[in-house]
Amino acid sequence: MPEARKGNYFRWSLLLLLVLLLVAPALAALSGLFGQAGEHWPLLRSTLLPVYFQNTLVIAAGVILLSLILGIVPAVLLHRYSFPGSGILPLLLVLPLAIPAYINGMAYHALLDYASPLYVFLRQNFGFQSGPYLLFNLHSNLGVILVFSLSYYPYVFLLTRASLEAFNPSYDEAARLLGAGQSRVFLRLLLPHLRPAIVASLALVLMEVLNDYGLVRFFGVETFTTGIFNAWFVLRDSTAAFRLAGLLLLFAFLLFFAEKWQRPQIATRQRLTHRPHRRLNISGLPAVAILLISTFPFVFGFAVPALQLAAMSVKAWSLITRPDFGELMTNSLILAFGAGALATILALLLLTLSRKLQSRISGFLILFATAGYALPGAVIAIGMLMLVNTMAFNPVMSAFAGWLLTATIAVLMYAYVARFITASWNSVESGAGALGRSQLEAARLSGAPSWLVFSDIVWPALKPSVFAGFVMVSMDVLKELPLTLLLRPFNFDTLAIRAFEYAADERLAEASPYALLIVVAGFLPVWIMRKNKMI
Amino acid sequence: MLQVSNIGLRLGGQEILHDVSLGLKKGGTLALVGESGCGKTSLLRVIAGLEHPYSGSIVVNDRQLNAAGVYVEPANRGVGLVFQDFALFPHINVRRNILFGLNRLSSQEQNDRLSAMLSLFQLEGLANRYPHQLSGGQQQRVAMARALAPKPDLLLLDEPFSGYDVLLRDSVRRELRELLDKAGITTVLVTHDLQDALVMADEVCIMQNGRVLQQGTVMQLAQHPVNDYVARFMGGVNSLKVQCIEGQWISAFGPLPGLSLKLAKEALLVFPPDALRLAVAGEPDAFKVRIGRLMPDQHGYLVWCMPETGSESTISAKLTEAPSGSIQLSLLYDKVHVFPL
Repeated sequence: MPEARKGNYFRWSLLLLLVLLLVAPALAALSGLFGQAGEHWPLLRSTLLPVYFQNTLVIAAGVILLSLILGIVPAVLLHRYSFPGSGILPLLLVLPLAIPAYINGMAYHALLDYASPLYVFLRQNFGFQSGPYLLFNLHSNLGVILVFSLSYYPYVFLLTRASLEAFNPSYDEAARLLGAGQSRVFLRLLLPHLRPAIVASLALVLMEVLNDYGLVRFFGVETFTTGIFNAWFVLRDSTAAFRLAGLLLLFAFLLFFAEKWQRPQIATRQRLTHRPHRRLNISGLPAVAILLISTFPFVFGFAVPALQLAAMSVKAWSLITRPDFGELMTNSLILAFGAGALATILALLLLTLSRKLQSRISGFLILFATAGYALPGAVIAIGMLMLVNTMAFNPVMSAFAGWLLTATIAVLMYAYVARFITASWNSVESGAGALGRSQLEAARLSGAPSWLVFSDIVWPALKPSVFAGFVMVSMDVLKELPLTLLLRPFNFDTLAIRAFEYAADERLAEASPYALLIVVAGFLPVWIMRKNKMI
Repeated sequence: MLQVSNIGLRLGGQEILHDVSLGLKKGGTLALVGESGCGKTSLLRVIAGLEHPYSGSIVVNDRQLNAAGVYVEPANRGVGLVFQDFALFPHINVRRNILFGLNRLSSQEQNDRLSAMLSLFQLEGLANRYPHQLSGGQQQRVAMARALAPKPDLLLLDEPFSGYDVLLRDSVRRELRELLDKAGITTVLVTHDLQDALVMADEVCIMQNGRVLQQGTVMQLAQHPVNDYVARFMGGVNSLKVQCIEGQWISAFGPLPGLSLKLAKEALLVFPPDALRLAVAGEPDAFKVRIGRLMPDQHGYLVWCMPETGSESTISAKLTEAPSGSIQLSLLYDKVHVFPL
């Protein structure tokens, strides 16, 4: 066999192996749909499943509507007008991404609860009464919708803003010269132009919503994710958990394809070059009004919960001097940096294979292998449990499977990589795209050895994106909840788990220092986005 | 028909147009010509109502569009603009692009207008195609059809030939000229290429640094340029500084006894390459030059010539035969424009 063919054979085998490893948890979860139904399934199907469906759909619809408003309105205002503060607002409006939804929910619970200082003040001084919570019952579908929307609208804001920047101002002018008014320009031109960005961003928002466990559990709203946990931990019916995970996976696939379907259109539109937009300078009262409207999502999505957390943390800051804090920190960082490094190495390996193979099939396989972000953590966890379950029935591997699951973090790491490799892959792939083909060819033609081409040309170009991918995966792992809850070894806690457990026990002050640390860590990816001129 | 008077425009704190005035009769075509950044596109956008001038007025068909306290919205100006990048709406097909400005008409009128435009611009088979499925020339025709469909009083074209290579440019120019003649519409076009203006326009308006230097027919501008910039723009690529010393005019190439000026002590001569001819040694007005570079063209050679000593001054001559070494040239003074310094 010629050397070149032998090399390709090896690369294809390696690629298939990696792809299989990365999609194995999802395939295992999908197989849950076709497995034997457990004893609780009929009861669950007739009683709880409709509730899970209904709540999930209501929440999804509410979040779509509200995150659209919260994301599009400031994006359009910042696109059209220039006013004092408009330079910093794009960064501020993305900051809610640094706060996981369950921590945001915790902060709002503390702020609106019956015993909250604000409610107590209003009650005692003004006789204001609105039941157990200020204004409305936060622990409801409405509360979940509000917190989700305030946490995830930045996806809509970011993609809409990028799409608006790509909107050729000549279209607007041509339409006006053809007699179209503002509303016609918006409906007939701008909205169709924004559609791919809106669909893709909403798909991302809904992926986060389907993935969440912490917020819905904390607010006591039953959804598919909580259903999976109930089946696993309460009913002890693994097959029911597998089936629910399989159903949730079908939703996730829909969102994944919706997002992938729209992405090329966004990219095409953003490639078009045109003269830059000129924003209308405004001042005085209109500027104040627009500033207030544009700042609203930041204030309630970030400033209010962050201040609330900071205020509570001041009271409970002594907790970090406890001996177990170091252990929590170490556990969290080992998981975060370990998974970050592993995902980055795998992403680089996939990048090398994809560049060497240069085939549509390899591209398609990698697309599937890196689709983990679309899968809810609970689904991947259930898939992992099914895989380990299968190993447990194998006489040779049963002892190993038990040890893997109960005593090591290997399963957890594997699951993290399967879910979060998307971030590192997207990052290294875009970094490699920025390295011009002609630069690489010029380097090769210079006669320099491969190692020199790599160290002097490839690595300097790739380094920032490799680092960015590593940090993004690490920070995602640091705040991850459902996967960690299901797959962690016994007595293995992280900052996120401790924050969630304290919050679930209504010990919010004690939860807040941990939550605040997670929020601070969440700034890193935002900083990277800013550095890469994504904001 | 179009009267632009004393327009001033400031953008981002910078003065873009200074006291710009020009006029155009009904059915005529005016080319705004100048180097990049001279303000010609900004003037076009002011006429379209897309920029707000701080002074001056614009009148189209006796209708005031801009004046102190008067501003007519772009939508109500009756002005069509074909953008440099065509600005065809990418998500709708040719038919809907052309119909976009006709929504106030009845569906019968819309269909009639659409058919007329498709026929005029030879787009019949392309009505259902999307902009990205069209060639550059087809896109331009759609953009023209869309701008003309609402029957504007005035058509504005922003660099209509910038996207074409040299070979295609000439045929597109002629095609567009024929279409405009058929449509019979008053047109202002912006270009930085004099050739575009020569083919397309009845009148040319030359701009520099936000000011109108001169407006007139091509002949008027070529024969009576108001300054050396206009003269050079109109094809006088050579400029030669001369000084009067003891009653004789001296250039970098030596004395020019045939030149008689009573204007000043220094002047600039601007002339085209064909204002130079081969002279025989001993002719009273001949001067000796060194050959720098020969560039063959269709009817002979374009020759870069330098003084016998030094090379700070270069002029180009149009000659029918290839010279070599040193030659003698003389100037045809009837083709020379003189500007006192």
